[in-house]
Amino acid sequence: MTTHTFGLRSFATAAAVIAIAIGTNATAQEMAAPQGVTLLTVSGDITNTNAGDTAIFDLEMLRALPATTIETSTIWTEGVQTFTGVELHAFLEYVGANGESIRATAINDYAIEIPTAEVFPGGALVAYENNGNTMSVRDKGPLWVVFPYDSSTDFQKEVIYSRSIWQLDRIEVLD
Amino acid sequence: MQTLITEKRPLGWAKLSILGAVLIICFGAIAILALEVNRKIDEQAAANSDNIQWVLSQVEVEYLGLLSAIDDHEETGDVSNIRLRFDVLYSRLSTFETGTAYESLRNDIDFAARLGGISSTLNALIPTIDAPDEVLSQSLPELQSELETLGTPIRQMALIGIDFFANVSDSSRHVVWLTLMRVAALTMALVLALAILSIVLFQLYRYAQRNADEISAASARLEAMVSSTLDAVIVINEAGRVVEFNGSAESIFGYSRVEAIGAPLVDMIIPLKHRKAHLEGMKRHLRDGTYHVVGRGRVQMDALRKNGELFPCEFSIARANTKNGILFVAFLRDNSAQVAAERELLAARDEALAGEKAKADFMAVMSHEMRTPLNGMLGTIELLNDTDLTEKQQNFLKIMETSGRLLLHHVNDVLDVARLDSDKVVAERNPFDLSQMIAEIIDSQHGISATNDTAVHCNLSDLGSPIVLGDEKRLRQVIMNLLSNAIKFTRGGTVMIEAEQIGDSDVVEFRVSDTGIGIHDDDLSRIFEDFVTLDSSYAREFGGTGLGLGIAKRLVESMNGTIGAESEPGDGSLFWFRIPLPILAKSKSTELLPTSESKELEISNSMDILVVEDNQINQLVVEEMLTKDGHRVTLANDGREGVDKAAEQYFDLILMDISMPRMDGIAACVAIRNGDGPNRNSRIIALTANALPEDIERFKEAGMNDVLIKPISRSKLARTVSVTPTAPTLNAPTTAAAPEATPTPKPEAPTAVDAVDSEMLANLIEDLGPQMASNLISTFVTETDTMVEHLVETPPEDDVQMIAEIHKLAGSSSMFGTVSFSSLLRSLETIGKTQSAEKMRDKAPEMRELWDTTRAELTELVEDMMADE
Repeated sequence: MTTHTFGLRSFATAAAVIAIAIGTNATAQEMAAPQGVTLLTVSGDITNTNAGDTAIFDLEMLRALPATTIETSTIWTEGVQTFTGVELHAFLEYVGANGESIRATAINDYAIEIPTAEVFPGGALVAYENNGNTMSVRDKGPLWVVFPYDSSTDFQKEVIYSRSIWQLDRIEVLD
Repeated sequence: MQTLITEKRPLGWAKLSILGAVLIICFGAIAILALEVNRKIDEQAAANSDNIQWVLSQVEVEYLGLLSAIDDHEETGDVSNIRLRFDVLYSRLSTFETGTAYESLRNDIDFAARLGGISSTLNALIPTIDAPDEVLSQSLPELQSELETLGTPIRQMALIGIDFFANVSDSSRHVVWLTLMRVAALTMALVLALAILSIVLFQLYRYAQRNADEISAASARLEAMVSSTLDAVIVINEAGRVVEFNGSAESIFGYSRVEAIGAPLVDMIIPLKHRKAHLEGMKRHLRDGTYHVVGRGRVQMDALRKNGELFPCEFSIARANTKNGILFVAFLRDNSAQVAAERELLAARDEALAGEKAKADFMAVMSHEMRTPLNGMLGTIELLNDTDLTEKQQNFLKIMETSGRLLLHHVNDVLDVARLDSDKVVAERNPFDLSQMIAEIIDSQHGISATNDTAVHCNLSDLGSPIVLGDEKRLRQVIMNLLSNAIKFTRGGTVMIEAEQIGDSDVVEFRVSDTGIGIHDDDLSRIFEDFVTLDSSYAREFGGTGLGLGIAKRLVESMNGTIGAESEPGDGSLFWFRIPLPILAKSKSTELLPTSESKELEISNSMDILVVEDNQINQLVVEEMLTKDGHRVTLANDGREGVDKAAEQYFDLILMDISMPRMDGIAACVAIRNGDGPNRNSRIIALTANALPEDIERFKEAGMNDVLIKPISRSKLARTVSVTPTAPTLNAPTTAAAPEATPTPKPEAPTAVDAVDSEMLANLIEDLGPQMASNLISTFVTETDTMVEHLVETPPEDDVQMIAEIHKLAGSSSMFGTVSFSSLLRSLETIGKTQSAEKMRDKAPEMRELWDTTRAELTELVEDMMADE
């Protein structure tokens, strides 16, 4: 993975330095800077930051957040999959998101919007593991927003499918 | 009420609910289809197709991105971007390979072939991509040329995919179209169903409206009926409180409607004495549902008015089960006027009946009272006729006598009518000689028939000279009436009396026909009415009350017979009547005694004798014996009749039986002696079968001159009768007959050896003649058979009655020499009178055995004696 995200590494390192710098005198004192490769950058109307106005996360930081595992099939894969990650609802709470909606963007700049009103516990999951393994970019990793599609027909809709963004690397909280 | 609203409904609830179900199904189907449409539209939504096309075109975009990254390498020398772009392209393609969403697409061979080719090319490039940066940098030209071969298949794949999903969209749109059509069809159906429903609801509304109209009309009618009816209508509830009280109820009971409604009925109109029963009845009815009055039709009872007045009230109560509980509807009618009217009617009827009876009594009494002085007058006229009179005086006297006799006749007629109308006495049934009776009647009419130059014939056809069982007196009077009528209206013609048995029945038809003037048809129908005298000068000539035929009709009907007449004016008339008249014996002789013979029998010292005797056989015997000795006999059936007869006419001698119904011999004797009739000094001789010494003493005290103990023989009778006929010896009753009979008969043991005194029997046959004796004996046997059977098997419960019947049988049997049998009967009678009835009853069955023996012996003896004659 590290090899694939090489381009990001330097940026992530720089961001981490900034985060540390801010972390010492900013409000989000508890939010440490990422030690590994940055996987996700959160910007916009958030209160908890570690890199200037943004919050950046490596895999370890995401793992440190309360993990949730779901089992479901998807329309893009074959057979029932196990996804482990942090619920989007909990994640947004963690970063102190206050916006009306979020914009999630993928590595290839694919972007979708999700109203925060539709983010709730038991809903979207920011998965970092598929079937017990971390995901490479070729496997739609390293972060993939999935929903428990099998649990309800409410999750078997085009709008949900469109929100199932893979190769996620940015979230912006919009007012 | 119920019947008024039960009409057929236009549509049942069942139909309505079916319609409702159809509607619900329509709604449901439409809702489901709408959801379906919604879903399809969702599927058709831009996101779907955009996404597919996006994903398909994105492969090309990423592919071009990768090539561009390789181009950029010449300027930047950055290989990480090449790796990222490759990985993204790879992930895109792998999505086509694994994603279920593209399964159908993968089934497209062209697509699959291109996808497979591209994938294998990319996989082959992975080692190059994953190689270290320097190696990758050097391999870039090679990588680029390898990747450039993918341009065409990637483009083709995207086009195939877009084409494929366009088709899918088309078919999907078609499905939506179909679904929409279905929705449209269902909507039409729904609209139709709604239309039908509204029609139905409208009908239901109209039906309900009509019902409501009818109900209100019916209740208005009912209201009108209840308020206008003359009967009081009171409705009470289960608690007995008044809920309805109509106008008539107000006027009958005196309570106003306002006062009555809600008040307990029992305190208002139920009389105190019935209140407890009323309350209990209500309670019982509500508890058990049993009815005493409810639904039982009209009942009459006293009811109470407000002012405390009791009045007869007729009412009926019906029960009605309503939504608000049980109601009792009472219809009551004030019956006081009707009851009063009934009472008046009853009183009027009683008065009328009393008046009628008084009239009848008056008639009877007057006729009777007129008869006595008339008899006196006629007797005096006869006496006057024996004195020296001038011819003129004799003529006057004759007119007087004729008028007197006519008057007597009329009085007798009226008396007969009055008696027949008032008496409920059933015709008597006694044996008598029919032919002899008719002969006597013809003989009595001899004078008139001779005057009218009319011959009277008699034809009894095959009846011969019968002994019949019937009411001789009434029959005689009927025939007499018809015969005298016939003779009266026939001049120089013929009158015929005929009698004929109808088939084998007991009914005998009598016909009296004449060749006289006849009767018109118009008159025939009314000749049997009272006081009818045909208005012809011819008829007037004879006078008469017009009661004769009316009396005949009454007499015939009293004997259970019918009477009628036929006539041909100018040719004559036929009167007929039929009565039940059982024939006991038919004589072989069809000859009648010549009417003149009786006159030959007259001897110098013949006497007028009254025989008072209830036993018919004894009557016949005594009468026969006395007649043969030249005496004139008048019969009376009991003491009272004896007294009546004795009042009418003087008799030289009265033979008086002792035990008789209505009035016994002793009382009759006392009545005659103490009266002022012509016979108060006549000789009276007691006839008795059972004379105890103390009885004979009683007879003497009553004024009897003598006692004649039964059985009676002709000689004994003759001797007793002939004793000093002109000198009544009140205080010296003779017992002339005593030596010949047992004066104080003691109960004797019946002797089987000699049950019948043959000498006595022989005397009887000699005295009466074989004909008469034979008839009498057979009658006696038949009668005794019946009586013995009756007394043994079904004896009367009344002791006195039983003793009387035994006495009667004893009287008959003593005549025929059946000494043992009659002494048994007498001993039974004596036991019954002097000891105990129970003992008598115990001993009574002995009669049967003894009678069987006696009967056999009697029959044998009679046959022997008859053969000897």
